[in-house]
Amino acid sequence: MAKLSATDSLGGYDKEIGNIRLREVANQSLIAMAIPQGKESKFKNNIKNIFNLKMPSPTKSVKNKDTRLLFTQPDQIFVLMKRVEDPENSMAVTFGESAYITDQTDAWVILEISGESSREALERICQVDLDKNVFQLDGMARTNMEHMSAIIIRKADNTFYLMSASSSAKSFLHAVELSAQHIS
Amino acid sequence: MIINHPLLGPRDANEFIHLGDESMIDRPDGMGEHAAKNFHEYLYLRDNPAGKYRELWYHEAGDRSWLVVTRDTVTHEIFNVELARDVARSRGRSK
Amino acid sequence: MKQAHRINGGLVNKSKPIKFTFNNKQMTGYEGDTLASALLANGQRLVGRSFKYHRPRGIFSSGSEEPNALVQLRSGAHQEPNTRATVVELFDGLTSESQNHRGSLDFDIMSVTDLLSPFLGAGFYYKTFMWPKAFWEKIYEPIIRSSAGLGSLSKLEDPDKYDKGFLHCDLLIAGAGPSGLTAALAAGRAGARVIIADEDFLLGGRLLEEEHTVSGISGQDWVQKSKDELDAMPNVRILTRTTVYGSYDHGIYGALERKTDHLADSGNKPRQVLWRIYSKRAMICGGATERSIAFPNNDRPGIMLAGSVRAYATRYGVAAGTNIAIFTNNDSGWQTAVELVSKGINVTAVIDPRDTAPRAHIPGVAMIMGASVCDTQGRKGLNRITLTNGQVLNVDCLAVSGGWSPNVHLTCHQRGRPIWNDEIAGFVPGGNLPVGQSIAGASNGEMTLGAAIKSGHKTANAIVKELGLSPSRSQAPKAEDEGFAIMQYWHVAGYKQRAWIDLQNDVTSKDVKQSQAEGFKSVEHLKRYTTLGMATDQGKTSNILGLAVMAEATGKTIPETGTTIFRPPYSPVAIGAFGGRERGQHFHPTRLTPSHNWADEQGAEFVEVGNWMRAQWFPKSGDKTWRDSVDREVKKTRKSVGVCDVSTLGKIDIKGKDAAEFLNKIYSNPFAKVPVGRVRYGLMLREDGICYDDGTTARLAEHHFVMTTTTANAVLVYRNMEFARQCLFPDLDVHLISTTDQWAQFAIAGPNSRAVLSKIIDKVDMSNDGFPFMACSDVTVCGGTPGRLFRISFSGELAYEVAVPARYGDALIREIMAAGEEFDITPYGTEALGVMRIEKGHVTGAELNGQMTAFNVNMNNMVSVKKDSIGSVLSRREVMVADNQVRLVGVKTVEKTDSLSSGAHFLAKNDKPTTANDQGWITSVCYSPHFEQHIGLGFLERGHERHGEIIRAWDGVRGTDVLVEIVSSHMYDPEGGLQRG
Repeated sequence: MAKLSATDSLGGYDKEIGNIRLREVANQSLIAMAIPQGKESKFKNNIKNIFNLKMPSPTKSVKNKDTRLLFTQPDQIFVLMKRVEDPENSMAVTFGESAYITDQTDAWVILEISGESSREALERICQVDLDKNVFQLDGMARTNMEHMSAIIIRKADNTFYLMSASSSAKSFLHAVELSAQHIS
Repeated sequence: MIINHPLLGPRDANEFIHLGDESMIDRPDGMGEHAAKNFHEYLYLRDNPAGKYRELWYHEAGDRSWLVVTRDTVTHEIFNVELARDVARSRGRSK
Repeated sequence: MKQAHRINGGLVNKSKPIKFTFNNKQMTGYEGDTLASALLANGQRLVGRSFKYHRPRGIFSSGSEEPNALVQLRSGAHQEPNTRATVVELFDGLTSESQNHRGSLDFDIMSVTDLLSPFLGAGFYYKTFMWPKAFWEKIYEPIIRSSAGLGSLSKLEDPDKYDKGFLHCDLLIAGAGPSGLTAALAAGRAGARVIIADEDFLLGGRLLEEEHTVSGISGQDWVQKSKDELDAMPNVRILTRTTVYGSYDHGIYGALERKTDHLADSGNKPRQVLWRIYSKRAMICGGATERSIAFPNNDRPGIMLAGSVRAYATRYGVAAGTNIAIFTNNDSGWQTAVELVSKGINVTAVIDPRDTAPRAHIPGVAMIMGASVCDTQGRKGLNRITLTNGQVLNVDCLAVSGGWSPNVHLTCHQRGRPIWNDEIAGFVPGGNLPVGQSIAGASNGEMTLGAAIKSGHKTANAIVKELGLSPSRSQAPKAEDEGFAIMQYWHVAGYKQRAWIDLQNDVTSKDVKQSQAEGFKSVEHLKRYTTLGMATDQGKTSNILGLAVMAEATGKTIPETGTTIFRPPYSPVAIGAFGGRERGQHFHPTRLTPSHNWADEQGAEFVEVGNWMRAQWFPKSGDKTWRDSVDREVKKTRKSVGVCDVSTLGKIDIKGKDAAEFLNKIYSNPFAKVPVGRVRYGLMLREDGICYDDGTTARLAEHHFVMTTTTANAVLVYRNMEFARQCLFPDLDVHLISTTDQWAQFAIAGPNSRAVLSKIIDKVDMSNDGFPFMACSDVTVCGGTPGRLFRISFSGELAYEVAVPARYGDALIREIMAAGEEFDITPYGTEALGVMRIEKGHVTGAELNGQMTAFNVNMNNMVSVKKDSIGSVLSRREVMVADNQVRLVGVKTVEKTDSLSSGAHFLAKNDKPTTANDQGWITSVCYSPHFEQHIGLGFLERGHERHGEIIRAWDGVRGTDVLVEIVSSHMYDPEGGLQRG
């Protein structure tokens, strides 16, 4: 039996629309970590030891070269990191009883939007205030875009990660593409 | 409306689902005495005030927190927003 | 046609002529014109026919308040009716047409209705067309509809695009007149994030339309200077052509930006964008709207608002007439006279009902005090007016000013009630403004320029402080306070000719009095009875007049009479704009299964299930109907093996030390003791005892369960479980996360499913002992890909579900098909899935429809009495478990050739189809290839003890009535030997 080959949600989409670049980010793993009741400080220590990162705040992600941590729920964070196979099991070994780990890599599609007009495009679908004094570098929010659940992260002044459900990846891409095309 | 989420700050009400009266937290014990009567009251007998009201909202498009929002049903003024889990614990709920 | 009425000056660009047509007549205007100003420049006075009486009408105003000059723009699918010519920006190639006439605009045969007007007063529909009753729908209404009205729709799909968006600011300023601009400068200089929006395509408001001096320079220069400064501020966003149309809770405003309406072609961009503006503070600087005076025959083309006559002269360089008279009850009319004369326009007279000295000295103009206009002549355009003192003046334009009404609309959208101000004879905002909102300038009753500018400055600085910023040290611009004295003089009474109050709806002062006489005295009743203040202008120029006449008729004051409630939108917003881009396939997102591309390659027919696209069946060449495909899929699956993508089922990862205990509370049946490596079917109740979802939950590890929900309820179940976790049992250590999209999951069913899967799954003992019915396990697939295997069956066959991370789903379906080739494997869609589950007697949403209890579906033994779970207590209520309740049954037609329909009702053989005789109904039907006849599921009174009975399935909607045998709902393999084998 042949080994199974992976298919990315958007087949490695990468396109320029005006001065906006839109591309699928497919080389990442996304891992949900829930914090067991009573294990909060142990979890925090493990995050420090394993990723050398502090816990993310509800509105701001933390990151180092390979890893970014996102607050998703009061007792849950997401880890966005370089793609690893079967992260659920490998991470479970590392974290032991201090975290409940669930692979979310395939549940999400990640788009990166960049370029001078990226904010103008996002104005059409994102109700979160993206002013850079309000939504600062590494800022993150989970919200709705065109009736789809989405996470937005500010990577740079005009560069954002947009994450949404993988099953509706094409609709999500289309919504972002339209927003870029509709700038006037 | 804008709901000032205790963790995330002001967010548009369209990210939330509205459930209703805060008393939904006070679920009776199904194995206790008078369970049928208690559940009837729990489920069907609610106040419907024109004015200050404590109600449950769920941040479905956001961090999945259930919140207790104190809101004036006439003016829509929101006075206070709390994590429902904290409220539930303060009302004696546990396991 | 030459622009005979064009004069010197104005803000139009005379080096840029623009060609357009009106009723196919070629005309020329200039860049900066509106359609109305260009029509006036070309001497086109008659522009439309009135709504009810088909009276000739002309341009009345110069802004969004226009009641008369409604025109149809463009052609074909782009045709847009009921557009106010006064706000249409002229562009090259614009085509426009007048509305509401049969025959030409000049010879409207429907103008005969005007002769019938004595019979067509307020309420005539209700009185005249009472009988015979049947005539209303067939005769009266169609006639009325075709004779009255506005423009017509193209009835083609709107080819334009619309979009929506979200903006944020510290301060939103609605209106960029003198107070708005001053406020924007003050707030912008202080560093606040400002959005300033105006419905016009130029900033400046009245400063464009009137000659003023601001801080030592002309008003128009000051506007330009202010715009330049605002343009240079990165914290200020200027939105022209943008109407702030509604004020909503907590500082949210709705605004419509017209992006390409002023262009011949939208260039494939959205025509309009509907903005949702989140503001910390908002300032309404909406100015004021002039109103008319009701005098006999006051609706002829050429009778206009005085301020608009001034605006056409000053902003557009157009003389609205060659001989103009002014009829005013206030000082602004006199300022109009002065300004018109200064531009060389011939003003014949100023007529003022006040018995005072003239309010200005204007050489060469007759100043007639203490008099009013009491009649006018000119069939399609004014040519003569008669005054109450008997004087007759030959004029072709009468500029009327009945005073100015502050634009308080946005202050009232949350039930705020304006209060009457006698000094300005208008309603001003009451104290109850929406949260975060302030108001300044004329919309706040500060009617003079100096006061408006000062209030804009002061209010903005106060807001700046509230925002925690420091106001800049700049002073308010300086301007004079012109006179604005007014006499409350509303209508010229005592004449029998009609005096129009609402031009758009053809409401006269007589109609208002009649409404009063017939008891419709409340303003809200007046509005509904006479239609005063309805339609596109919402009575901007007429409401106060109507109230005043009503007040007079009832012997009350205007404040006692009150106003109708202001509701959004301030001016019309196209439905298309509210729809935005969410049309057709953009109405909702589409979710695709991991095998979608593969299924598409197989030519699958897809069906929308919620947002999901699921393969419904897989046609093969030679299939004559869909049934051929579905029957084949069922037969091949039952005979050998079939595969179906079931990834759409909701999947929720449940982890934590208390996960089992939590599930025990969520499901009505016991879950605490499910062994690791086993799956259990679970039933979920609402707290009121009704079943709302079911599915299987697998225990993969001590503290790890995977729940499946129905496709439709995935979100609801998750929400309810979060509620239970956070609000009911906050100290349970349990954590949820949706994994619906994480996993590609395939059901493989049929006697050869084990053989196929043995080729796919790595290193698992697939024997019945090694991996029995309801077993589950983490596995690897195809040589190392992590996956999960469940031995569960929806079809009743030996069956499994295998899951891999979604990105491997496409590869896995291809491997499964390859592995199954030797067994003639078939893919099957949702139809075959449905057939097999009906044959097997599994319930779905058709049965668990939000009305059924566990008792109804014969699963009452699944509601444990040994524990407390959601819904268990109330599910046992007496009436819900009564003997005569309907129970789930299977049905088969007695005649094998008969067919069944869901929705059919069960009746005893000889009973009449009445509600009293109704015994139940059919919920699901299919043709069963296994039984070779139609079968179904349904609910029947005491159905569980009536197996073998023959009754009728009667369907009054489809006109069928067939005999059916009641059987157990478990029709296929009732003992379950196959799925366990």
